[in-house]
Amino acid sequence: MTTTLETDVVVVGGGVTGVAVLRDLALRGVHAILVERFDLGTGTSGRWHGLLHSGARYAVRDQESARECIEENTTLRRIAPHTIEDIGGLFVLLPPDDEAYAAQFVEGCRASGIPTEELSTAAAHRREPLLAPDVRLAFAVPDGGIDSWALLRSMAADVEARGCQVLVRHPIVGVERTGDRITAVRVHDAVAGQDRTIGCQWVVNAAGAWAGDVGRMAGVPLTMIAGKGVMVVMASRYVRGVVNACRKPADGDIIVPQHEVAILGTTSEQVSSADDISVPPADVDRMIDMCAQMVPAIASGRVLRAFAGSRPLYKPEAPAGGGAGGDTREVSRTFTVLDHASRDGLDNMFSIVGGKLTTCRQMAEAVVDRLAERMGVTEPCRTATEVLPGADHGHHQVAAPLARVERDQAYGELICECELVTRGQVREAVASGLTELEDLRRKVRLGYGPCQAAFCAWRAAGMLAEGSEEGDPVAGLERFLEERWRGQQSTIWGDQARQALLNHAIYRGIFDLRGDGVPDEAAAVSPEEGA
Amino acid sequence: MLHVEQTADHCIKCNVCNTVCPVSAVTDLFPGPKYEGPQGQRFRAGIDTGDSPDKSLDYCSACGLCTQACPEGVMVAEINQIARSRLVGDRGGLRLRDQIISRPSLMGLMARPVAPVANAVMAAKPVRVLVEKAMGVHRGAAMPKFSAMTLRSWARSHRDPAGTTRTVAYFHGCAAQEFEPEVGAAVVRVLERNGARVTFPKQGCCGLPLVSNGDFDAGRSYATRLVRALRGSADDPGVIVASSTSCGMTLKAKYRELLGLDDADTRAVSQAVYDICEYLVGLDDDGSLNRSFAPIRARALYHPPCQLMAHGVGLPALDLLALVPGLEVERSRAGCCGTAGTYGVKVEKYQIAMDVGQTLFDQVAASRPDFIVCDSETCRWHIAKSTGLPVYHPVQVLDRAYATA
Amino acid sequence: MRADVVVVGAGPAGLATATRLAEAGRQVLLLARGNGFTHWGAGSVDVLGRVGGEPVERPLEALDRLPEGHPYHLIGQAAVRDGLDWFSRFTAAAGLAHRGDLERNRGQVTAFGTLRPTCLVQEPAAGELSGRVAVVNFAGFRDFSSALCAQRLRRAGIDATPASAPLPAWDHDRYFTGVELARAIDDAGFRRRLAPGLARAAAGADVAVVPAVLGVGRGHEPWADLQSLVGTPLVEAAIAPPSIPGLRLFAAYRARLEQLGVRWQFGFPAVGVERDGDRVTAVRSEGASRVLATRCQELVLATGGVAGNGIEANRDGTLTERVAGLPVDGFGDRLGFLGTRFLGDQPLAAAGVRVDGELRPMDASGAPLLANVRCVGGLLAGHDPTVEGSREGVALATAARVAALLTATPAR
Repeated sequence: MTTTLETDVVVVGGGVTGVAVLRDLALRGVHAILVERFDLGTGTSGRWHGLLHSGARYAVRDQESARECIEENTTLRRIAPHTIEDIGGLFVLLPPDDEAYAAQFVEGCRASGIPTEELSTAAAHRREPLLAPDVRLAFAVPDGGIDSWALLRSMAADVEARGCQVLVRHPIVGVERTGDRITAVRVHDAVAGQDRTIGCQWVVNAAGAWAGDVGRMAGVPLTMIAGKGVMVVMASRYVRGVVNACRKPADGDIIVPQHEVAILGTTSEQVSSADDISVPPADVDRMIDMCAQMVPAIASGRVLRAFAGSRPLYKPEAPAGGGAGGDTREVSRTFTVLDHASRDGLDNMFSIVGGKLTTCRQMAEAVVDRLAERMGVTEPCRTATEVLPGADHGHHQVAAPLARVERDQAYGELICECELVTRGQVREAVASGLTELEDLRRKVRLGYGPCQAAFCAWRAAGMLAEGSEEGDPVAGLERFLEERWRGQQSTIWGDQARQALLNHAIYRGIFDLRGDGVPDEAAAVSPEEGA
Repeated sequence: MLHVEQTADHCIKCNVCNTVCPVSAVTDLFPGPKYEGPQGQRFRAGIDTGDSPDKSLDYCSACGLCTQACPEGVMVAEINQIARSRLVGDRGGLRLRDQIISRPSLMGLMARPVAPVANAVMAAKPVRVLVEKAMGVHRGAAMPKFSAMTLRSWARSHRDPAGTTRTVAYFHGCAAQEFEPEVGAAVVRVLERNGARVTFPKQGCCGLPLVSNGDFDAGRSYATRLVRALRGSADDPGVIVASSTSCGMTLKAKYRELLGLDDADTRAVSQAVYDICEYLVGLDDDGSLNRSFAPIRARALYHPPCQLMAHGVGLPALDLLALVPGLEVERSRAGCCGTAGTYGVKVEKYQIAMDVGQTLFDQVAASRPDFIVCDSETCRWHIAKSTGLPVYHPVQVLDRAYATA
Repeated sequence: MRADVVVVGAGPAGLATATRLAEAGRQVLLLARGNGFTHWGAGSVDVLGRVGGEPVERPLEALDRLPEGHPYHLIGQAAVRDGLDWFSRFTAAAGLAHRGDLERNRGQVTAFGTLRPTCLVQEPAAGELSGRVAVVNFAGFRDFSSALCAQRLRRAGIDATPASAPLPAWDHDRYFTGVELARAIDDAGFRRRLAPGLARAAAGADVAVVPAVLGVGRGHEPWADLQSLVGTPLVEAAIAPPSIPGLRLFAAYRARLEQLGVRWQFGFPAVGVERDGDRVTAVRSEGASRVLATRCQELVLATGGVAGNGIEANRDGTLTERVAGLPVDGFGDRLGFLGTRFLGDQPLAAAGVRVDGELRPMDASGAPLLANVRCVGGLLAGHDPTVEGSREGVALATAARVAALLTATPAR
């Protein structure tokens, strides 16, 4: 049995690009519905390093991307400062690096419009006390840190307030096509367990690394390259701002501090599917060893977890079927709007592929401009000037959660101590309809910290139990614990091994939980995400 | 981030530190070492953008019991102290009260010429009330008495005995110099009974009160001056004894851990420092301790200062007191007497200090010892004031036992 | 410094070993980095809760089903009995009587409403859950949810209903944990003010389950008093660390050790040993500015396995025993450390030092490596104390065996 919805535009994909497209449409007065197979940000938008690009990383080899980045860097700071840590970045030259590259770097930044400043090594060390003592050159750039969850939440709140709809847990299962037009999109409501049909006039494929799958469903050939990158999360922040190695982009050349952790990145390996999120232990070791060249303390530091995500790479001349193996850094990081009318004879679908999180708004503007023209909508794009809800808070301050708890003397209210999440925050999230610990984790950062939910998970399970007689919070807790555990074997040693064994002694030893409620091959509510 | 701050990595949130914190036990203004230390650290790290968010941090007394109890090696108290120094930095330095009470040698210098008057004035209740209102030093807080004669002037007129077989340098600290020269004299005599010649290298304040209050810059200048003064003694005679457990601790570890001073000279000095009781027990291990003690038929209660535990040498005073015939020694069950250096004299912390010390005071009231023994001077003053009993440094007991032998 | 016997580690095994050796006339120094599993456990004595994942009814009988090389096999049933008998007498004398016996396991109620298999529980946790059960939390206490607990108990067929008891005004209104609450309950006046609210919350019930916070500094007296004030049997449910019943036990050990003149040193880990041939001559520990060597006749390592920080799990999959560098079987790489399921078995928890029948670490051929070193408790290979529910049993049994072995040798 299906239920039917009607809209002007269906946007496929709940990453930052899809939600940005929805917002752009909403601000132009177009009604649209977004469909997403899991939850917002469970694709690449939730599995990346959190860098708000200054563009400097592309200044030497990909100046088109570099320029896009610096423009959007400025725009995002204007419209969504609350999702951004205003921390700056450094590019540092270490002894084995090529000084000639530094000269190219400076020139490339200048040509791309990226403001840089050379710092003395003394100034660089004052700014970053843990920087390796043998740094030879240092350049400051306007990198920042951006929280994609916060950006998604902010944009989603904005679009829902303007009457558009976001349907999560609604994977697309097919399209209805009449001749050269799509008339409807078929989705499966995973929560209600039934299919729905969404009648529409236009479709925007913003499925990122999975855009090829959507294309196939629509009957158009579209090959994406999944460029997997592994990232390692350290238990504390180490650096104040972003630290990059001043060299041709390679493995382990960036450290991005985000909230209370530091993310070491990354690798670049073509894989056959964007759903391949496995983390080889050798990659973890490599990240640590390479990034420790820039910040030596990392070599003896505690690793919280590691995760992988796929860059949504598009190469017009990519071979059919996609391959595996090989470095994908040669592929340009700029974005492409595909008009399937001229390309494939499908009149009413566009795809927006490639790009990066920093340019999501710009990508949305590009595709919506083309779509609006075809639709006869004359409203211009306003997404660069309309600020997002929450912007009045200014830039995110890392110490903000501590400041809040101190101001309110709310120590007694802490549910998640590592992340300073209070009872009130959890209650609010539960009241907004969240019933799964995994959702609480994404919404309020419960369980993100070093103890990996040793204490907060059962406190939160208790609060869920208080809220409702139904369900089985203990089984939900077991599911949550198993989900958090997946893929962690490659990053557990030392301190984290002691933490894991203590957690095991608590849940299995004291509480005698055996995971009976979690079958071996249980599919997760949504794939595990990064920090 | 210093090595100390990176120990926060070891925290597995097990709550053991929270079970031993004497301050969070008596007040809910202090949410405990786990919250302030390794947990709060993650939110403070890398921030230099204006006001530190911490208010509750100020209630940490830095007693160090958390660091000792932690099974993972997190240096919780030290993390808190470093965070406090940033808090002070953000606020533009110490308030006047803390600047004054952090400089005992300066106070001594000023008060000594008029010591009897100064002492009488500070004992007068109306004066104390005034001082409390003007400066924030609680009217009930124990204040040491300024001594008219300093330890060093006593030492100048003291003659080395003949036939000594070893030489020991003495770091006496401000307490023995300004307030308790009798303790210093006892140290010298006890060492001499053990064949030692005691030297008095030029020295100043170790800077601990400044460091405890969070002024690390001032602390560093005191530290470098003192290290320079003691450097020679670290080589020759190679042994520097300290009779103040907290000042000895500062030299042994706090310059390195808190102030980040890890140069060769600082290391040489720190490795040459021994707590006086630690040194005497070391002599006993080698069989060369003079054990001819006369009996002291009395009952004593020994309170190990929290700072002594941090030396990691056990409780040498207990081993020594056990050698005095007739002396029954009961051990305090309290981890901290409450004063924690200058913490307990402050008007906003005084009641907390008294509540923390209640375990000890109750034990004293129940046991009714003849006197109390404690290695740390601020503890001695605080305990004496609160119990009305005499409180001695362990070497004063040994000195008495030697003298009557 | 000198000692006759140095015991390294102050968890359940170290504390029991130090106490028993001192009772046997040895002069003991207890060295520990910090507190141990007494503070992290359920506050009970687990001898053998599960074999092959299945709950065990009769622990002594089930010992036979354990694999070769298990510590219980090495030391024998007699040591297990001796260990538990001694513990029962020691705790009873300290005002911490335990209920249960080796013949039959019992179910200990937990904050999750599960009934964990264990052998001995402290009296406050020993009551039977029969009839109508009120599951009562103290208002504002974050570490217990009466709804969660009651729900699970109902699934097990117990007639359980959640309730909440208000706390009287006290000096920790703004912030408290189980420790502060337990200390408050130590005070008779506080109990008198708490009892009426608790009684109202438990009204109509045959027994009330409450979180395990009923006093920490006065043995079981606060629980007994509160129970009589309330008029309903009170049963303590095990909660997450810090373990209040464990703290009670730790206090009892501390008092006993002091009585016996055992010296101890917390906060400074043992970092190495000095050897002369096949004997350890001293233990090296970190002091504030120097490493100290404590000369000793015997050394007992009670440092726990990886969980206890006695063994380091290295990035490359190897394991290192941290005090004496004893051999520990590692793994090919670190992927072998942990199981694929969090609530399943964890190979790392079973890693440890292989010992002979006298608890001496041995080499690959089975010959003792060091004549005067013994290993006890979680440090031993061949058992996972969490999964099989054997932590305190192994601790007490190995402590018994070491005490017997080292009493026999005349102290030099």
